[in-house]
Amino acid sequence: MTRKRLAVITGVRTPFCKAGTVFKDYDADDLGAFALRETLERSGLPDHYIDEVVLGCVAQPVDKMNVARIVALKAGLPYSIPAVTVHRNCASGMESISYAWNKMLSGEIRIALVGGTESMSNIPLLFNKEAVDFFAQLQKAKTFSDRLKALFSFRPSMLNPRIGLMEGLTDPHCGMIMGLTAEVLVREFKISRQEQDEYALLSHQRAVQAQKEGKFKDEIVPVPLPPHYDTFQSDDVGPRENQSLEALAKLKPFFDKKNGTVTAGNASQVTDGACMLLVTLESKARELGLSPLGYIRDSAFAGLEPHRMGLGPAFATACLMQKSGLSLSDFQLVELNEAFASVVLANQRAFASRDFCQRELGLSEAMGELSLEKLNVNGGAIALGHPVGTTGARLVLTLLYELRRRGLQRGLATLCIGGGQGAAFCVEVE
Amino acid sequence: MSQAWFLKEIDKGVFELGFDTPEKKVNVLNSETLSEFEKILDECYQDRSIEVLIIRSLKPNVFIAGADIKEIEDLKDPREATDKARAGQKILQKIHKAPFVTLAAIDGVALGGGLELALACEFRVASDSSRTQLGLPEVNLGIIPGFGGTQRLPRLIGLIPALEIILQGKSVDHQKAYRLKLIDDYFPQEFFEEKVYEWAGNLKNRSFRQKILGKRKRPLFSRVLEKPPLDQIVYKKTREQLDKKLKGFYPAPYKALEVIRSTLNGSLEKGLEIEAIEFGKLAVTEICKNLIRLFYINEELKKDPGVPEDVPSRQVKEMGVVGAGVMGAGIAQLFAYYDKPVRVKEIDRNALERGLKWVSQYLTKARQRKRWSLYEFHRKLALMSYTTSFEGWQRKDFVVEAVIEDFEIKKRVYQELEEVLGPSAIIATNTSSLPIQDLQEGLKVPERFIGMHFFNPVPLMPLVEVIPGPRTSPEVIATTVQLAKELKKTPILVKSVPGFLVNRILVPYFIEAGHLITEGESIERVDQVLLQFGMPMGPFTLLDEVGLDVGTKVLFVLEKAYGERMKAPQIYRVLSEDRELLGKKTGKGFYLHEKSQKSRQKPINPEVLNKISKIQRELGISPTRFAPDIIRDRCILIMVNEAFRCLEEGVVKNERYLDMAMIMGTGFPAWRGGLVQYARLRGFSDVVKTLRTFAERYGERFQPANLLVEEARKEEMERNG
Repeated sequence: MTRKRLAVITGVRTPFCKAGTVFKDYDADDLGAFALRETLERSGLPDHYIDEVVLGCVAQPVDKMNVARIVALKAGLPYSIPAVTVHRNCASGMESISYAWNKMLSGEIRIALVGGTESMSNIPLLFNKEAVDFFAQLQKAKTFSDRLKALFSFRPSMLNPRIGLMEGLTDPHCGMIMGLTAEVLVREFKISRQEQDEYALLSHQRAVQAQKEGKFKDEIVPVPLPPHYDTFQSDDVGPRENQSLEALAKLKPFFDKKNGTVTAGNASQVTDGACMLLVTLESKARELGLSPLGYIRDSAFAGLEPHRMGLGPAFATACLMQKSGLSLSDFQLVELNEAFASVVLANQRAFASRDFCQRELGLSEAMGELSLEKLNVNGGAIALGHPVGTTGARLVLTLLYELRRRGLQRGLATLCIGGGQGAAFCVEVE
Repeated sequence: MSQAWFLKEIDKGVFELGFDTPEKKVNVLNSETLSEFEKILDECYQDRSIEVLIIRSLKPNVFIAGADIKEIEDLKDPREATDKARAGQKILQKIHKAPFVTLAAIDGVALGGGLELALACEFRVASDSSRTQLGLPEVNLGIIPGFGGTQRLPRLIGLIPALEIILQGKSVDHQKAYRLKLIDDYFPQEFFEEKVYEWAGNLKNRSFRQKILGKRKRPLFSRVLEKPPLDQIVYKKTREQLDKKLKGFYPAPYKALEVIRSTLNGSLEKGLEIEAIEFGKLAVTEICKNLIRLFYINEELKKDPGVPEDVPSRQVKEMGVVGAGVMGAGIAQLFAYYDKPVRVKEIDRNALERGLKWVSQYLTKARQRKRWSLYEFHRKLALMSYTTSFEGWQRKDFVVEAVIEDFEIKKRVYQELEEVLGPSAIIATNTSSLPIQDLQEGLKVPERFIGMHFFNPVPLMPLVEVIPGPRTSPEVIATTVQLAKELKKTPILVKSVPGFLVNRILVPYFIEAGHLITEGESIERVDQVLLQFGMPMGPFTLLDEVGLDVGTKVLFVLEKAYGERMKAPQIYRVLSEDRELLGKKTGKGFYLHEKSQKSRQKPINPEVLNKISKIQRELGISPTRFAPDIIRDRCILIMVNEAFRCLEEGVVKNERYLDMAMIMGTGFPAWRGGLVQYARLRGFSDVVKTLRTFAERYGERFQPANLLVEEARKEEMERNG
């Protein structure tokens, strides 16, 4: 059974800026609001056409739970429009699309604003368990001597914070931080450090080139730049024009300090940014006389072992192909999220390996070559950054714009998901 | 007369005295309601069963709005006015000295005499409604509180907060009032009555009263500050602040300060007497009458929808602004300030970024002033979006065009807008000089088009001229007027004549100042004389502020429209052609604006003097100096004359609106009552006589307007009985 296609009417994202830099004064709701307002304005649709706002956000601000609602209100949407935040780790931005689409197919809603927002600058530091116990004890203490006793139980180690960002990127089931799961792929597919660094360099080169050609102009909404708000931040800050292989080679492995090959240079950047899309079913778009940017034809999510989560794209794409009857050659462009260079390289090998596809994916043949001519043609998360909750939506948006630019019809957007999942979306222009 | 006060027993010993001024929306203290109040108080004095008396309003959202302004307006004789205050004080003293406990229960506004009545009670409680506002706004009307406000307020809440409330005439909400101990407690409005009755019941209990009174004790430093010698520092500082803000022009706040200074540490009775005497003196002044008149005009304007009552206005939410210069950006941020999403269009990103600089400047100031949280500040920013195309503008309800003053460019903008906007969207132009009827011509839906002229700087200037064209629909007028009010501006409807109302009257003022310096008067002296007259800035200081290119542009437009009588002096043309001499923004104009220059008086720019000398030589003028009166009259009366021409032509509904427009649009001194009021008080005949002399001496432009001559004739007739 074929799904009714989802029309992406329009979409926009904020610039992606390295965490702790220019956007550090904006929280996730601010970035989301800028992107949402712009998307709505470009669509030309009046507020009351919007049935729901669905946003992905991985590290929701602790003071803005259900951040989608805050984004909607902050962007000036009326109180009457409901909003929900969805979470599927790195695919939260894609989940928002899928979630809204399914609501449309079930008849619950007709038009939605979807996407993701993430401020990795603002992921808090946490008190450790000992410190929490200490404060609890202190609070419970009623008498002066109890209080004194509690005070004396203080240890300097209680001041060691738990770093929310690091813990959030660590999978509790396999106990590995994402970078270590990337090392798993390195070993499984025998990927050299050199290969990873070369791929990382390519990502920067392609992103810098795309910037120079103004390819991101249409998808980015310039945002007033804190702390003075009197100039616009219009470009992504991640891509480095002067990036060299030598510089990349000098970096120490970050996760496996002894034998590892995954460095800060060949991994995606920790980044702030938001991306929004206005979506509705194709039929509704036609009824309203809208001319969509493109369509989502089908989507698939798949699961695998958490410590091999980087292979998610292979698993999800296999699933997508089986469902849709498409083959890899039907996709003229592919966006495969560059969580790590090794993830891209491992998937390239997995896609092309008959053995892997048969053994792991239950296919009869290899899926095929993910050639660099059609893969991540404008660079990816290594250069642009990976605001985890946002990236899923960004891949779809970037892919649609590039397909249109090249006059092509169909693309694949796929990413790996912490916890051992993959997502794959089939995107079409006409 | 029907009854205003109603006594009712609530519980054993607890009585309620309810106030309900007949035939009025709000409660006011006038001779009738006050004397009835006194009578009923006298009866209460006799009633031994009353232990606690609650005084409250039987009207919603108002406790007592104050004394009847009409009665103050009618006061002619200072002794009569003093007696009036004494009479009120005497009645309030009866509350103060009552043999029972008194409690003012405030739900809604308690202003002026209303708050003074509450202050005379032993206890005060309020509701937490947003309508609950307590204040003594008397100074805004040119008087001081006359029913004991200057006495009881500082004694209750301390000197510094009392000065703040009395001298600024601002009101406080329930939270601030509670913090200041102006009220003893506050309750949810929904449960107000029950809570008040319960609280009043407790008041029967002596220990409860003691507890409440004990809470009012102020910290030592606050008490020390109002005793000699430290109090003198407070008074000195306060006076300096007043000087800075009022430049000595408004006597009431100074008088209030003086009364408090001389009475705070004496007896209440003596203080009340001094208050009454000073009130009496102020209440009969011209300034007081002028400010009361403006108060009425303001009320009139607030209620005026600009169109017949039955024309509906539309709520607009989605705003667009085309052009992000200082005006466009100012208007756009104003929309965001009032929570209206706004999209700003410019020709390219650089132009948008220049606009963003204004937006950030204005909103950052607002953030400091309003103490917005970062969340709130970012929320305002996120309501604003920026674009270089009209894509998606079909969702806009109301678009303000604020592009450069170029007829063709504006027309092109409207054409593009009409292609995308929905049929009911309104297009308003912020033009300051182009005729609305010409801009409206040729539009697909001309009914939707209107002039909406804001003043620079947008966040500060309260006036908006609303200028319908001949084909503008009444609904569009009503909506624009309504919108201006939502933006907390004062909209005044004017006819589309060149310069509309305010610029048309103001331009002759600049022209005359230009003539004066051309004829040999010094730049500083012209500025100085007009500053002393009460204008917020002299004309040349102002031109330097706004920039000579901007300031003179409208000058030349009006010169073209009105011909000889608005012929711009040569010096303006010379200066506006020099890109270096644009004023503050280029560092030099009439004055030198060096960054290091901290002192008030900036030095004159010698280049300008050279240019003036050259013009004088060319025109064969031998430089002369003028008496300050001549300088003043030439600059001010030329405006009066133009104002009467505007009235003649029906450019504005009436002289009251004209006076308000000049005050709000140019900063013409409010205490003078406005341009027409100034002429009336000075005497129309004198104005006409002076203008005729000037016409002979300085040029035909001073020939008095017919309507002004007519007014002078009427005045003569009245005088001669």
